[in-house]
Amino acid sequence: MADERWLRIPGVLVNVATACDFVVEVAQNAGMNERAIYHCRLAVEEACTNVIEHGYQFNGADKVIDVVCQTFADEVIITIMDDGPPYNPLTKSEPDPKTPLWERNEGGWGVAFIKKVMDRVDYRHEGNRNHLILSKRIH
Amino acid sequence: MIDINVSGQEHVTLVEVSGRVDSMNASELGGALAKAIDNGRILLVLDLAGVDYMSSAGLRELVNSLKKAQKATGDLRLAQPSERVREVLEMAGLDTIFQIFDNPNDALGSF
Repeated sequence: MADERWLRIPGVLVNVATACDFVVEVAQNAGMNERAIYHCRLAVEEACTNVIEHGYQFNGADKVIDVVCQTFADEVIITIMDDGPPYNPLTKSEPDPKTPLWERNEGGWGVAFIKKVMDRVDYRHEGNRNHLILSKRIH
Repeated sequence: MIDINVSGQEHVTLVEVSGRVDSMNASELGGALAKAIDNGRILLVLDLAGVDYMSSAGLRELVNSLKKAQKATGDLRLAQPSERVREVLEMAGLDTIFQIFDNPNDALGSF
């Protein structure tokens, strides 16, 4: 049986820290090391920021993001749910780290970071909501 | 929350930042660097010793600031990133774009 915890935040940038702190606490309680905890914070910040910027177009004060953390014996699964238009970020092409400075665009690294630091990332659209599912091994 | 301290060191400007540089406050760092460059302080060292976390939002400000400094024929060099911040820089390939120093004096002396 997994230990499960929920958090709901309004879909505005100032609340992302609350989601990050929530996930960090779960990761710490699960016994992750400092690097893995950093990775969880990074992935959740990038995911929530993407929802607020792109899904909610910085107009999400009356919308929410739900964060569900399930702690299993060997991994933590973090599910981030939002009510933006259906969008699978995993289909987005990744930026190339070898891109020279002057050819670099403004952003695009968020999803790439999520994929790099988590062990598994899945997406599904269910119940009219986007679900981004992030898995991180505990050890 | 981040703290930013900007100090002139002869012709080079030292910008010391501490805290978590994230999507909520990265623009503060970008703004401080842009202000220095606009004031003609185009040779910059950003001391990251006090930064315990940085996300892609912080990297975006660093890249924009580097472009702005180089466009003005200056440069932005980094000092003392933590192991974790260095990992994020490496993931985005920025470790080969920025000059990175282990201590701020070496960075200041590199200009």
